[in-house]
Amino acid sequence: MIEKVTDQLIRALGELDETQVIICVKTLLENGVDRFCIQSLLNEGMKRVGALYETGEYFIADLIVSGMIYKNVLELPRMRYVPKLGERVAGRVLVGTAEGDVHDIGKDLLKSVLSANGFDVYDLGTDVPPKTFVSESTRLQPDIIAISGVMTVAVSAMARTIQALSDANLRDRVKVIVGGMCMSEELSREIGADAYSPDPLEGVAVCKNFLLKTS
Amino acid sequence: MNNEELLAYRQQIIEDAIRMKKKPDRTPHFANYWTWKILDSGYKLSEALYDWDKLEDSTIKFQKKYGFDMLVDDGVRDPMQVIEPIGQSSYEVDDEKEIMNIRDVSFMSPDDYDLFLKDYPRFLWEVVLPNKANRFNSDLTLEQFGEVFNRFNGYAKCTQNIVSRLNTECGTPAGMLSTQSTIPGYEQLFNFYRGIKGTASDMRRIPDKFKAACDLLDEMQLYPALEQLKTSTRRANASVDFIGLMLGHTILSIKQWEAFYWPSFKRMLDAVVAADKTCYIFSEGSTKRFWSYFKDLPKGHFAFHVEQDDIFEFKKELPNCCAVGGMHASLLGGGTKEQCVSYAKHLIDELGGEGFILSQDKMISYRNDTNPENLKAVCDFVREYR
Repeated sequence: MIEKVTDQLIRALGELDETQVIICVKTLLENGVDRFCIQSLLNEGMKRVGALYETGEYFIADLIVSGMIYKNVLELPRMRYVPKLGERVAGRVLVGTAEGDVHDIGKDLLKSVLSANGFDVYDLGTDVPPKTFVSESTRLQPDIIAISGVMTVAVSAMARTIQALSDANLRDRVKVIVGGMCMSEELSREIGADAYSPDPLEGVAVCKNFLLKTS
Repeated sequence: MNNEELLAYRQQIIEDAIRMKKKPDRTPHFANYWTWKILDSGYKLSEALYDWDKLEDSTIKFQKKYGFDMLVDDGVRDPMQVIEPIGQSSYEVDDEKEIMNIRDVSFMSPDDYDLFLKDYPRFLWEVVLPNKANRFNSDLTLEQFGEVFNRFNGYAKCTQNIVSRLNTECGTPAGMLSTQSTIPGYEQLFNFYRGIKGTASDMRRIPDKFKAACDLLDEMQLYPALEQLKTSTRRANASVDFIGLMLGHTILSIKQWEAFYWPSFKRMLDAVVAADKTCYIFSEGSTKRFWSYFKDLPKGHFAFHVEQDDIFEFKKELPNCCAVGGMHASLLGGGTKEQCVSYAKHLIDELGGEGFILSQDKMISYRNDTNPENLKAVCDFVREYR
């Protein structure tokens, strides 16, 4: 029976059927399946969403909904889990929207898919000043900083953030990935980022690649 | 040329570029400049956004300095001060950072669709207004509410003054907000009611209600406007007959586009063609995924703003449509005068002639988006280059 529900859960998330996802998760919890196992099933479902995005069947609206479902499940009372400081998962990523920009959708999507891929993600929110990226990098020691932005004002804020990380002697310890509608491959090189990602799924691939190279 | 002749000349080169029957005398140049105009004219954002006279002054100063052929934004896109007496929750202005942000806010919940569909005026009054205007409550006085209407009058006068002065003092046609325009129901829900996340969620969770709301808005607003298009004549001071927006396509899968967007949008495009009008589609982000839907549009009616996509590729794929854009904001902001002029020349040499209007590939809003000297050099070059 459990095996059937686990299959149903993966399929339901792939199909973005929130009601079915919640029913499956609750059933699994009632049957003693631990939250880490359930989260790994959710991650499988998210991979199916990612695969459908790659083929063009899903697009941004579907990724937003998958992120909502994922978040809602993780907020169920018995699913909550906060990684301990110092605990290593796939890697630690600080995400935030650049100073001056309050758009959070791209950032939130990246956060969802990174979490689904086993990353330990810290969300600094929107309109994040360079000094906050620096202070939180010092405190949390991330492997990667991901900065998102939609408005063109975010480009110079990203450049200032990268400069501030250099000034604080943190730049050689952390990779910086930038993305969002304001950004391009060429611009990312100009401002000194390590990588650019046009969408959250490629962002995850870039982050995995960073960690592979580091290890 | 006096300003009257200049206005007619600008209207003609824009018409020629879109109609694609003959080469315009020179490549037209649209200003995709928004709050940058305020900063460039020496005002703080809040100063101009809360003072109609300064807002008007910033737009006119901008046009007198640079001399574009049309300002996409006449300067009045952000009338936040109109509903300020009853509270507004979308706009954030930071004068120190010189930034204005518009938050992605939903003014209704999914539960409100029932009232939306049953009694739309009551829905606006009981749901949207209290959510949109955060001081709209039982303590609100009639004077405060009346002030909204006073300010709305101010907004209308400001718009009228700007258009009139653009015409008479600058020989420039009216921009987006002063040209006949309408948007499909989906765009209204996306932009004015549910926001990005709400729209994404509703299309998946309650698709029937969402579609019914799109259809209701189309019935009430889009279709009557299209009906009017059949008999209307172009406004004397405008450069195109009709302006459409493509903003909310940026989140849609093809399946969602076909279910919620394309049927109404196609009806709008068909109406433009049937009435033999010209239409400028201000489109944000990338439209590339939907180009195949535009391949069969008859030549000579549509100009699409190309923001994130490669404008050369757009022209190759859609030779039936006029492309608006090409000039990179990053170059205008970070390049030299020579680089900017050289790239403008490259664009005109490659794409100029019928079917191309030069403009910027981003909505220019922040000071660093453009170096004024670069912009002046490009504008002067485009006006002279044949």
